[in-house]
Amino acid sequence: MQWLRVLGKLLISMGIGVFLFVLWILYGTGLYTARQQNQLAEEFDRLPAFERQTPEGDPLPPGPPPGYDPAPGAPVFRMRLPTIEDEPMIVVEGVGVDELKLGPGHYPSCRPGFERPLCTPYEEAFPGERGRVIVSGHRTTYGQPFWALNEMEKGDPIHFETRWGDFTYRVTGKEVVPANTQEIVVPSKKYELVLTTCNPRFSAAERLIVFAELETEVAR
Amino acid sequence: MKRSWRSRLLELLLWAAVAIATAAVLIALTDEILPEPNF
Repeated sequence: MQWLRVLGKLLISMGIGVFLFVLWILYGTGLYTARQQNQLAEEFDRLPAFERQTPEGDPLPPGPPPGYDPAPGAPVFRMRLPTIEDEPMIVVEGVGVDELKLGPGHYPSCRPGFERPLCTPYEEAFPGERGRVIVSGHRTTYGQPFWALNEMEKGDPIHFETRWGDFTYRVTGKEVVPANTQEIVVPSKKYELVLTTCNPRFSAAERLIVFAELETEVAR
Repeated sequence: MKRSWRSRLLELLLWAAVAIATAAVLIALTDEILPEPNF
């Protein structure tokens, strides 16, 4: 039964290959994202701050200047969730597969480089601006930035460091919705923030949504 | 018939290559294997 022996060895080898693949998914992707985050942090820290007032000295409204359209994968701001994660994260522009491998992604408006359904036809909001700022991130794999998002409670702070100021939001609630819901990506007249990720862990069946509202702005 | 150590080593390397190739194919197909959109 020589062929049976060969088949057995083949299946064992392929099984080891599947095991290596699982190791890559669970740990290798995290190493990849950590390296990308280091590079993005350096890049973000080199970017100049935006002017906070007009040449006449009048204060500008919070937010980036008109026409600010970061490219897919570009670092847009730094986010810290002190109750669930010690390290701050660089948030990149876009929520596509490639962008979320770099870190959490900021939901963009539809423009060149971003296509439906991974962008919104509405004006995108950035931290500090009126509207709904939406940030999505992996619950598992690729650094799993939102692994413990379910542990956030009402009142927990969420800090943002941007090129136009620093902002703190406070969690107001959380909700689990079906993965295909369209109710999250909508315009808002409030100064609010929405964090989204997969739910439960290791499944894409639902989305865990955390809602927050702007509390303070600290001029840079 | 007793096999030489060289023959056994070559066979081990062959099966190791099969394991690595399997992992490489799965990694290359990650985006297709995992649910879309996957978070």
